[in-house]
Amino acid sequence: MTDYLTKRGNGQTAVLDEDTRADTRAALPTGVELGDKLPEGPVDVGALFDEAIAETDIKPNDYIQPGAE
Amino acid sequence: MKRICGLEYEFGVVGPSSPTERGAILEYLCRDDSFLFHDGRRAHDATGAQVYVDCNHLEWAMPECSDARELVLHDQVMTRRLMQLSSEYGIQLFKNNVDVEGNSFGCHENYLVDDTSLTCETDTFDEEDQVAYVSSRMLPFLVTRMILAGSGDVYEGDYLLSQRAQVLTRVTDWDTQKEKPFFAPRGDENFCEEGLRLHILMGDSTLSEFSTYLKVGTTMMVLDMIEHSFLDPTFHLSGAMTALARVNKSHSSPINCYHGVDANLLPVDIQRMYLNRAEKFYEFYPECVDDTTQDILHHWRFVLDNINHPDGLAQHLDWAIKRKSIDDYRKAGADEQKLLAANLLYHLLDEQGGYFLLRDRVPLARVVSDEEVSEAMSTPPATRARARVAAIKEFKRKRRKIVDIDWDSITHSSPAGKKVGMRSFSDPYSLT
Repeated sequence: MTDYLTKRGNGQTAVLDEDTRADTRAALPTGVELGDKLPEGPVDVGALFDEAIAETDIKPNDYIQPGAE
Repeated sequence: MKRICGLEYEFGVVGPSSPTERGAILEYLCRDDSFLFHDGRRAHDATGAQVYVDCNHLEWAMPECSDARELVLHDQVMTRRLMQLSSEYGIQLFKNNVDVEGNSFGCHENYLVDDTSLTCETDTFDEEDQVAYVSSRMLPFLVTRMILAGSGDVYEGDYLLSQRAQVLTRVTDWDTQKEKPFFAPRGDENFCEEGLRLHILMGDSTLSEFSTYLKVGTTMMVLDMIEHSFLDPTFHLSGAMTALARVNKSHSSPINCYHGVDANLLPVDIQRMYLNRAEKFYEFYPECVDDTTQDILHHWRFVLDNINHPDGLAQHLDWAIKRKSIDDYRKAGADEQKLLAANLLYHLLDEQGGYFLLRDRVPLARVVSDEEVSEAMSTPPATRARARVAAIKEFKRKRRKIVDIDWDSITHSSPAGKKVGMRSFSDPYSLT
C-alpha cells in the first residue's frame, strides 16, 4: 500500500509511482475514489506540519473547551 | 437502505479574544447574511441545516438525510461552509471531541427507527425501554465501531483509536452534560411523530469521508437488522465500559462477551459477526438493498480484511491516516509538544489543517467529489429538508414573518402578526 510520507532524517522516501497508483486504484472497492490530488513528489511531513503549526499558532495546552452537549 | 439520519456537531473554537468575546463572535457568525434565515437564536441555511451557539460552542445540525452517501455529502457541505465562515470571522474551528483538560463535546448521531418493531412483553414500553431494547443488541457493535470510525488521539504518549471513548461514562442517560452516555433518550416529538429518534452520542467527529460513510452506513445496517429481529438478543458484552477502554487502546485487544458461553473475542471478530449477519440479512430481504447497501458491505469487509495492516488503511480511516502522519512526523524529529500540536492540527477546519494538508497532497479516499459538494451547497437533501427550505423561501417571498422553525414545522404570521399559521412537515421522507 502507498507509503506517501517522506521519512526525513534517514533518507528513505517513498513516492507513489504510476504502477503503485494503478494498483492502489484497482484494489479499492467500487464507489470510493482516491482523491485526484496525487503527489508530484515526496511529501515532507516534517516541514509541512512545522510550517502549519507555526502559521496557525496552535497551542494544544491552551485548547480548553468546557461546556456543550 | 433508506433511513432518515443526521449528525449534530459541536466544534471546538479558538479565537483571538476572551471566551465572552468569542461567544459574541459566534453569535455574530450565526447572523451572517449568507444564511437563508436567522432569528438571532438560530440560523438556517439553504440546505436545511441549523446553526446555533451553545455554551460557547458552535453547533451545526445537519439537515435530515436519507442514506449514508447523502449524509457524507452534506457533512462536506458543512465542512466547506465552516472553513469559509471561520476564515471570514477570524476564528479557528476544530472538528474534534476532546480538549487538554478532558472536556468533551460531541458528534451526535440521529437515526429514525421504526418503533413498532421494538416489542416487549410489558404493557408500558416507553422511549427509555425502546432505547434499552436497541442498545442491548447494538452495544457490541458500537463498542468496536471505533476500528472503523475512530478519529485517533495522541494521549499520554500512547495512541488511542477514539476520542469519545476516553470520556464515556454510561450506556444510557438523559443528562448529557453531567454524564457522557452512548445513548440519550430525548423525549421530543420534534423530529418525527411516528418512530423513535435514536440519539447516539458515542461516536467521534470524523474528517475522513470514508470514516463517516462507514460509521453511519454500518450503523444503519445494524438498525435494519434490529427492526427485523435478525440479531441474536443474547449476544452481549460482559462490561461495556471496560471493553470500550480495551478496544480504544488496541484494535487487537480481546474483550469479554457472552454468546451462549463466555468468550474473549477480538474487536474485528465482533465486527465480522455483524457484517456476516448483515450480508445474510440483505440476501434474505433483497427489497432493502440498493447500490449504497452493496457499497457499504463491500467497504466494511475491505476494512476488516485490512485491519491488521493499518498502513493499508492510511488512505481511508481517520485514525489510520492520522497515526501514520504522527508516526512520520515523529520520525522527522518532532518532539512531544509538536506531536501534540499535530494531533490537534489534524482537526482544524482550514487549508492549514492537518487532514486538509494531507488531502491536498496525497490520494485519500473520497466518497463524494468536490463538484458534488459545490452543487449541494444550496440543494437540500431529498427529504423534508427540501420542503422546509422551500417554505422558508416562500414565506420570505410573500413577506410573511417567520416566528419559529423546527424540524417538523414552521410557524409564520402576516407582516402585522395578526394571523398566525403553521406549516407542518410531519413525514420526514416527504419532499413536499
